[in-house]
Amino acid sequence: MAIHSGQRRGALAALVGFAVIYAHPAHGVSESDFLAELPVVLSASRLEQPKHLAPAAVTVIDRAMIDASPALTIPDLLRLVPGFQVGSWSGSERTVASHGMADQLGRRMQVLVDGRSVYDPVFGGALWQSLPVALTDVERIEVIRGPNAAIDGANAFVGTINITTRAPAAHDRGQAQLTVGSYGRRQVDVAENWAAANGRHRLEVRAGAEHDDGFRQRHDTLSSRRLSTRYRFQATPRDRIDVQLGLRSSDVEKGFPGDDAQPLRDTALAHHYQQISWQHLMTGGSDLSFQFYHSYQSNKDAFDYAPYPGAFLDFGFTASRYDAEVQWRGSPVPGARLVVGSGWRLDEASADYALARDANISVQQLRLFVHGEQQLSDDWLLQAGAMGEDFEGVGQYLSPRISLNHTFLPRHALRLSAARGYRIPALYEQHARFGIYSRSDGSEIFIAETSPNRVRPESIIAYEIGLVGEAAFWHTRYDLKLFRHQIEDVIDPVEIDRVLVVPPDGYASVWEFRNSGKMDLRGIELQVDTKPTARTDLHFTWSFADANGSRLKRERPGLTVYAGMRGNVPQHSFSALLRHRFQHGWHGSLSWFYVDPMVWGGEGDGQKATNRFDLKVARDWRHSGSRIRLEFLVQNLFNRRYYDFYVPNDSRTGNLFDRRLYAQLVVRH
Amino acid sequence: MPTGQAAPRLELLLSHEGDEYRELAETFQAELARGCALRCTESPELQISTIRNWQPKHSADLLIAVGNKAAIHALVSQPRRLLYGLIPRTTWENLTRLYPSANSRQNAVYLDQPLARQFDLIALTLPADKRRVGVILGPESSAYRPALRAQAANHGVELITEQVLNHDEVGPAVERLSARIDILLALPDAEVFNRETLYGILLTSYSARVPVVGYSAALVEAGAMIAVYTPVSVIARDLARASVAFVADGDLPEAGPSRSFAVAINHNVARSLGYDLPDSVLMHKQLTALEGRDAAAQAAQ
Repeated sequence: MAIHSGQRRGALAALVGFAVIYAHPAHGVSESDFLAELPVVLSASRLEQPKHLAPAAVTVIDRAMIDASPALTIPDLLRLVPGFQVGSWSGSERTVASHGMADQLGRRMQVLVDGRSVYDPVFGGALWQSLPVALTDVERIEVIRGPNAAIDGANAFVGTINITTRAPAAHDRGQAQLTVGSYGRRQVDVAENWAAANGRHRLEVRAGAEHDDGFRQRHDTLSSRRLSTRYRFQATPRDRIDVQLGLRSSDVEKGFPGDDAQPLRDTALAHHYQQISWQHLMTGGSDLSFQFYHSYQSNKDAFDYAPYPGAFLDFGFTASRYDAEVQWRGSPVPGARLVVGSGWRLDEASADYALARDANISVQQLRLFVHGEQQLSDDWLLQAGAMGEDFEGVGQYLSPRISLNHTFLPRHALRLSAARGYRIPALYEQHARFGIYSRSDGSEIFIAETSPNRVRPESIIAYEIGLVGEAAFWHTRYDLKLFRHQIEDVIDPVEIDRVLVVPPDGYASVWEFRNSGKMDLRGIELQVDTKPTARTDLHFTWSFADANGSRLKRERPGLTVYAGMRGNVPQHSFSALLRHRFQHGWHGSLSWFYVDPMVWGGEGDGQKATNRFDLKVARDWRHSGSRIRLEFLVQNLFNRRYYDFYVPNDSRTGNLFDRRLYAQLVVRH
Repeated sequence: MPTGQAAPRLELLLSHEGDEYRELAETFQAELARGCALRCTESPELQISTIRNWQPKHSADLLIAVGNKAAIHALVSQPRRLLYGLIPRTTWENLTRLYPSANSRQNAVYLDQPLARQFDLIALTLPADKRRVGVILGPESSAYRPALRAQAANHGVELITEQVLNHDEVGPAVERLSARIDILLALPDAEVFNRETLYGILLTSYSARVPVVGYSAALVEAGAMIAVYTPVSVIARDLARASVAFVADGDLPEAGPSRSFAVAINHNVARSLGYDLPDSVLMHKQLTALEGRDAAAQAAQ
C-alpha cells in the first residue's frame, strides 16, 4: 500500500508523540489520572475524631513522637500519657498502670494491636514482653483515657491502648535497625516490603531478635525472636483485605536467689496470631468491616519446690482466643453518625497447676454494640453508646457512655461525659487453684491461692469534665480533664489463713480471690502539645489524683485487716518530651518523667518518687539512595538511681534503674 | 468555517469505550445540537468513533480527539482542524512542542485546573496562621515551579517544594515535606501520584495533620481533603461550545483549561483534621466571587 508522504510524516509524528507521551515507565499523565477510581485510603474507620469532639480524652503518640522518644519498648512510650505509670518488674517485663492500681499485670486496660485484643484471658493484662510487635513496627498509639467499655468492651475499664502498626509500603521499601547498649542490650529489626500490580498487592515481612541482660544483680535476661507478615490486597477500589500473621518466642530468666517460691529459673513465652479483615466501602460514605483472628499465648514456668522434695510449682499456661466481629459505620441522616456491630469470642485456656481442673476454661462471649453521634446544633454534639456483653458463666453486662460536647469557640470545646464499665475477672481470678503439687502423681500438696466463691466483675462509674482545644499561639493543643472514678468490687486476693507447709517453720499464707474493696478516685489530667518554633515540639503532661479506698487484706479467724489503697495511687506525675530539629540533619530530644511515691500491687513494693531525664541525639544522612540515621540514647541522664517496682529487702535485691547508654543505627531504602 | 458546500463534518474520536467517554459523547451531542440550533446556518454532520475501530479518512473538517490515545491517533489523520479534550495539560504541551507546524490547526480544552484557582482554594481553606504550602514536583510537574512561585507570591503563602526523580523517592519526600508544611498541593505527575504511592502520601500527610488539595474527585474520595476539578460533563460542554463556534464562525477558542469547575470536599477528612469547611456549592460560590474580584482588580489596573 502506498503511503501518502503527509501521512508518513503524520505517522512519524505520532510515533514521536507516543515516545514523548508514553516514554515514561508509568506512561506519563493521562486522563485516567484524573478520572479513574482510586482505592479509598482514608476511610471513616481510619480517621481520627477531632479531639475536641471526641467522647473521651485521647492521647495520640504518633510516629514523629516515637522517632523522637528515647524509649526502646512500647510500654516505655506510655510514660508520655497523662496519669500513666510504667513499672519494670524485671529487665524486660513491664506493667502499665493508669493512676496506679496495678500489679505485675495492668489488668484494667484493654490493649489492641490493629484491632486484635492482646489481653491475656488467663491472668489478665497484656504480656508486653511476648507481643510480636517491635517499636519500629508501630505507626501510632492512641490511648483512650477513661472507661471505654462502650466501644472496646469489658476490660477497657480505665482505658484502651490502641496500637496501629505500619501499613505495608506506607513509607520505605525496607528498613534495618540495630541497637546496642547497656546491660547487654542487642536488638536487630529488619523489614522489607513489596508491591505488585500497581499497588493492589502489598506484602511486608518483618523479623527481629533482641537480647537484654536486665537489671544489675537480677536473674532476668531476655532473649527473644519475632517474625511477622502482613499482606494487603486491594480487591477493588472499595474492598480491602488484610491478612496478618506473626509469632514471637522469648526466653526469660526469673527468680530471686534464695527464694524457694521464686527460685532462679528459665521460662519460655510464646505468642502467635493469625488475623484477616475485610473492609468494604459502600456508596454514601458508609463502610462495612469484618474481622476474624486467632491468637495463642503460652508460658512455660514450672520448677521444683526445694524445701519439699518431689514437689513443684507451675505458673505455666496456654491460652487460645478466637474472635469474629462485624461492624457497620455510616451516617443514616445528615448530622448523625452511627456505628453498630456484633462480635463473638471464644477463650480456651489450659493451666493444670494454676487453674481448678474441673473449671470451665472454654468461655464464650457474645457482644453487641452501638455508638451514635448527633449534632444538636452547630455548637452542641451529643454522643451515646453502649456495649452489651454476655460472658458464659459470668453474666450479662451493659456498659453505656454518654457525652455532650459544647464548642464554645471554634476548635475549643467543653466535654461532659458519664460512663459505666466492668472488668470481667480473668480466668485465674475465677478459677485459681495454685500451689505445690506432687511430682509423682500430680496431686495437691498445698494450695496457696483459690477462688472458691463466685467473684463478680469489678465495676466503675466515671464522670468527666473536659476542656479541649487548639490555639494559634505556638500551635498549642491542650486537653484538661477533671474526673471522678467510683470503682466497686475491686478483685484482690485476701489472706485467709497461714499454715505450716514444711516443718518446723515453713509457714505459708493461703489466699482467696474476693471482691474485696472499693475506691473513689478524683483527679486532674492535663496534656499540652505545642510548637514554640517551626523546628521545636513540646509534649507535656501532668496528672493529679486523690484516692480514697480500702480493701480487705486479711481475714483469719479472729483477725480482720483492711488496707488503705491511697498509697497505690501516686498523687502527681509529670512527663515531657521536648524535641528539636537542628541544621544539617541533626535532631534531638529531652524527656522528663516524674512520679510521686506509690505502692505497686501484688508482689510490687513501695517506690520512692522517681525523677528521670532521658536524652536522644541523632543525625540523618543519605548514602547511595539509602537514608541512614545514627542515634545515641541516654536513659536516666543524671544517673538519679531509683528502684523500679522491686525495692531491695533482707531476702532479695531490687530493680536498680541507673544510667543506660544505647546506640541505634537505622538504614532505610 | 470551511467554505465547502456540504454540511461541515465533525468527528468525535474517543480513546476508550468506558462510561466517562460515553457520557462525554452523549453530552457533547446534545450540547452541539442545542448550540447549533441557535448559531449555525447549517447543521454539522457528526460521526462518533473510538480508536479501536477507527480508520482515518481525512474527511472531517474538525476532529475532536478525546483523551490521550485519541490525541496521538488524531495526529496521523492530518485533519483540517484538531480539537483535543479530556487531556492533561502536559499532553497538550508535549503535542504543541512536538508538532509545532500543526499549532495553527490544533486547540485543546485540558483537564487541569488553573494554578491560580487552586491557590484561591488554598487561601480560602487555610486559617490565617497557616501559610505553608508544599508541593512534590516530579519529572512532569517540575515545569510548573516558576508558575507555582508566582501564584504563591500572589496569594501571600510560602511555597515549599520537594523534587523527586522517580516514585521511589516519593515516600521520603512526603515525610520530609509533611513536617514543614500546613497543606500539600497535589499536581498530576505519573511518578508522584499513582496507585503505588497514593497510600504513603495520604497516610503520611494525614498522620502529620497535613491536608491534601487534590486535582480530581477520585483523589478526594481516596483521602484528599478538597479539590477543584473539571467534571467530564463540563469538558463535553466546552468541546461542544468550541465546535459550535467553529461551525458558525470557522474559528476555535484559545487552548486552555475549562472555564467551569466543580469543588469536591471530603468532609470526613476535613472534620478529622479540624477544618470546618462549607459545602462544595458554597465553596464554589466563594471561589467564583474571588475570581470575579481578581478579574475586576486586574481590569482596574
